[in-house]
Amino acid sequence: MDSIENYLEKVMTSANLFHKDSCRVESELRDHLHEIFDSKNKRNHSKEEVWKMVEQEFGDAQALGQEIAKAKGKFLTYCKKSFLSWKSWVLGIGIVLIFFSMASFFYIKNARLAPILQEDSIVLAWRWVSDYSPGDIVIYKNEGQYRYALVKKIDGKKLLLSRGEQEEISLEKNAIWGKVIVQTR
Amino acid sequence: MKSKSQFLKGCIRTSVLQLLSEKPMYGYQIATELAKRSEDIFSLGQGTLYPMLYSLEKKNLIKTSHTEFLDNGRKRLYYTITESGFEMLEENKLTWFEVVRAMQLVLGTNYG
Repeated sequence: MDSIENYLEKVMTSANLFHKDSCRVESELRDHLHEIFDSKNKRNHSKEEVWKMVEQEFGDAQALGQEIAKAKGKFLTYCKKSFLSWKSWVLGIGIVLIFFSMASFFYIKNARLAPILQEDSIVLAWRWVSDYSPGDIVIYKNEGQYRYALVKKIDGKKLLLSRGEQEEISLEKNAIWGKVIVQTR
Repeated sequence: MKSKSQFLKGCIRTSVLQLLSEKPMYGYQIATELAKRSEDIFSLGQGTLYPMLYSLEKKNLIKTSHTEFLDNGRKRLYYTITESGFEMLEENKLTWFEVVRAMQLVLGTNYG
């Protein structure tokens, strides 16, 4: 029925809801308006007269839209529209958390491994790595502190690492925290 | 009169919770039942029922229970009361009976 659809369009334009909410509200109001229309249409009135009564009973479309928008929460609607749904946020945060449980950023304080690794650069290290090759930069923990070194040689399960300035150490593969996969310069 | 309308809105909110505590209902059913039981005193513009329902739903006092698919292609959404809604209803009823009793005592009439 055109009059009902026109009325609904005015309400929904005024309410300006998130798509999913909008569909639900529109469907609910449509059912209610048809119910009132049918109940009044049983008497001896023209369709226009019936619609006028329905509109009067239901209230001004624009005002109703604004009231619905307020009840649904204008800020919430804004958030839903702007930042997609909360499910996407949860998923996004989950992905970030998983990523940072597997990777970490490190700040390089000195130029021990220059020019391979410059002073004041930031590196991203990946945790779950078992495959190393000479030339890789790895991160390991020593006395509670993260340290970085260059893989010089691989000898079975052991890695020969260079810390620069002729300092070399040998570490088991499983003692390595991770491998640098990205560096800023 | 704004104060009367605000007062009525408060009463209608409690009445809606009462109706939904009895059985799940859809919008039109709530509006007609409310008007019938209150002898048309609570027959606001029917559209204004929805902002109230959405506001109660946002406060977790009511929730949608199920959707009925009608033969004419329309969908009908039923609401029901939540546990917090029940608690709020009981609280409101208690306040209401206290107010009625107090007003009767003060006014010295048998109204209410």
